[in-house]
Amino acid sequence: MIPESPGHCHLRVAAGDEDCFLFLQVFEKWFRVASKFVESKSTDAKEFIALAANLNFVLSTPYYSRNAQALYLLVSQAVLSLEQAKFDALVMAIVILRHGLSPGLRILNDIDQTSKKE
Amino acid sequence: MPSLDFTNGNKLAAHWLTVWGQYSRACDNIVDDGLFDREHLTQCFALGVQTYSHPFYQQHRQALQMAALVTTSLWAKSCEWERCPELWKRQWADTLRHSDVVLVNAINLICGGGWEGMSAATGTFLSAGFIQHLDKYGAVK
Repeated sequence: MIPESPGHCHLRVAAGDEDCFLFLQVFEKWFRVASKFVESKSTDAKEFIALAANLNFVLSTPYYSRNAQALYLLVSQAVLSLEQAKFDALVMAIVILRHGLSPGLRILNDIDQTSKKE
Repeated sequence: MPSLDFTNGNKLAAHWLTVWGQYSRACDNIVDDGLFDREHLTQCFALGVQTYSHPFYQQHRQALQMAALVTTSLWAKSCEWERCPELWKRQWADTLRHSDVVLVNAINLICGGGWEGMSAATGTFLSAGFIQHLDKYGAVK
């Protein structure tokens, strides 16, 4: 539903909350690097440790800290599977947290339509 | 090791220390045993999420983030140096592998252990860590 690396989508989802935007950006980047690392079957310990350290940065951001209880399960599922669909589910939860259910779903639908046109 | 001794009796802190221990062991096993497969990596990352989402960590995030990253940085150097040809690097690695002591100190301070608590926790942690490692792998050669 959500296109990959969606900086402009993150802006719409965050709706002016800079902390939220920062969390989406840093987690999306971590998710992309981690997925690539796992797929590559690399055995580079330095790269692995950097991922572990960067996970700390992601989960210490103010937005995650404020919403850890609500987002913990979805972030865990995304990290455990490293599937795009699980990342999208997290974005969906954040858009609903930020905008409420109906407006949130409308925004997601709008983003989906825009990405199809592109 | 008895976590409650390190946390001045704070149960939430002791639980976090246990979770941290599980996470750091999972990271260590991947590096030491070359377990870079999808299952081990993703389970390790999920343990990382559990560690950094824990209420004790989030409650003291600003203090603990620094301690956690310093610990991780020192441990990373230990991983890099433990198989180096230079004896001095392997000896440093043998010390730096117990870098969790930084985190133990930070937790003890947060939990009101004061200087005496930190000092006692450092001694206990490093002694136990050294003996456990010596029993398992022998002395650095």
